[in-house]
Formats: sequence, C-alpha cells, structure tokens
Amino acid sequence: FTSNKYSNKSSSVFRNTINMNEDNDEGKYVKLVSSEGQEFFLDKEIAMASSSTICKMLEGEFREARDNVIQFPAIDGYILERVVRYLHYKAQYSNSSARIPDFPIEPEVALELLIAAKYLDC
Amino acid sequence: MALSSLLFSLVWFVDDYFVHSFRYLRIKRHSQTFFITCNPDHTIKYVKEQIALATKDELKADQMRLLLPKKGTVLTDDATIQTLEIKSDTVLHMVSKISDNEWEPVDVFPDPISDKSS
Repeated sequence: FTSNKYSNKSSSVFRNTINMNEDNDEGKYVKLVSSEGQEFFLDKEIAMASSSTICKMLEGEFREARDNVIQFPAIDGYILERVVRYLHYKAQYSNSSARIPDFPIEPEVALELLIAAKYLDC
Repeated sequence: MALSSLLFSLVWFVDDYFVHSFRYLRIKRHSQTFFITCNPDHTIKYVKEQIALATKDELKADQMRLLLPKKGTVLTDDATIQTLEIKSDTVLHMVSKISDNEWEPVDVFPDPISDKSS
C-alpha cells in the first residue's frame, strides 16, 4: 500500500477532528445532493481533502462555494452515500502506518461506484 | 537499534490510537443522511448539536431524538459514544418532535442494496 498516493492534508484534517477544532463552525458542513434529492451532510474538510473535483467546486466564485451545497444529478443516492463513506475511509487511513482494512464494496454497485469515482477523481 | 524499534512501535501505537479513535456516525431521517465525525468521548448531545449546525439550525438539537435502528432504543443525551460502544460507520435513526410528548415515527429512505440482503 503506497501512502504517497494521498496528500498530507488528509492526515492533518483528521487530526484536527480529533482535537475538536471548533474555532469557526459556520461553514463546517457541506451538503451533497443526489439525483433523487437525497441529501448527504459531511465535514467540509473531509470532502475537500479526498476529492479534487469537490475541492475545485467549493473553491472559487461558484454558487456551490457560497451555499456549501453541491448537486449531483447524475449520481444516485445509494452510490453517493458509498462515495461519502469512502471519503471518510480515505481521510482516516491516509498517511497511516496502521493496518488498513479493505473498504467493502458490494458487487452490484461496483460499476456505478467506479463511474462516480472517476467523475469525482477520488 | 532497540531504541529506534521502540520509538517506531510507539509511533505506530499512537497512529493506531488516532486511527481507532476516529469515527463517524451516519444519522438518517427522511431523505437526509448526516455524516458526523466524533471521538469516543463525545456525547449524544454533541452529535445532535452537530446535526443542528449542519442544517443551519433548521433542525434544533432539543427537538431531535436519536435511536438505534433495529430495536428503536432511544439514546440519552449524556451517554458517550464509548459507553454505548457505537462503532464507526454505524447508522442511527433520528426523529423530530411533533409536539410536547409526541415524536414522529421513524421514516428513513431505504437503501436498495443493503436492505435487500438483510
């Protein structure tokens, strides 16, 4: 397992979570919305650290950056949920020398998950 | 040689501790899922406050109830993640208050894959 695949940002993000960094709560959570309107709320830091597509959407002068909401009309809810679970898995184990467990993927979702992962670059 | 391997295992242990302290919960209500990261010593109250923060106070912490999925056990505010032995990635259900003594029934958007197999 090569840890240099992931940026150093992920590990410090995760340690900040442990240290309960509560200085600025305002924009802490972002909302990802799936094709059928399911809403997934997660830490903004985790979203940005693990997916460069999401990171670019949330930086710069976009409405997404202002509202902290990103719509994914092409991704179904049950796929997007697994993506968000993966983002947490990635944030947890990046730059970690502990034994890393496999990320569970049900075979039925594997293909659609791959398509979403390619789109989100994560 | 022995010292460096001792230091290495210390670093590994500390890293391991961080890794195993990190957890997130998935709290579900209607078509919303909240991924709340927390430490073992955070309370249920903290989780509710984080949900309120995520919804920008549309849902208020004192009008939420968190339940274990299968049995529907209500989780008390001052219980900690550690004492409840809740593992990372666990799903909890949330219901909102209708009136003083009434809570809405559990209504969670189904997952087509995992609901089929369970």
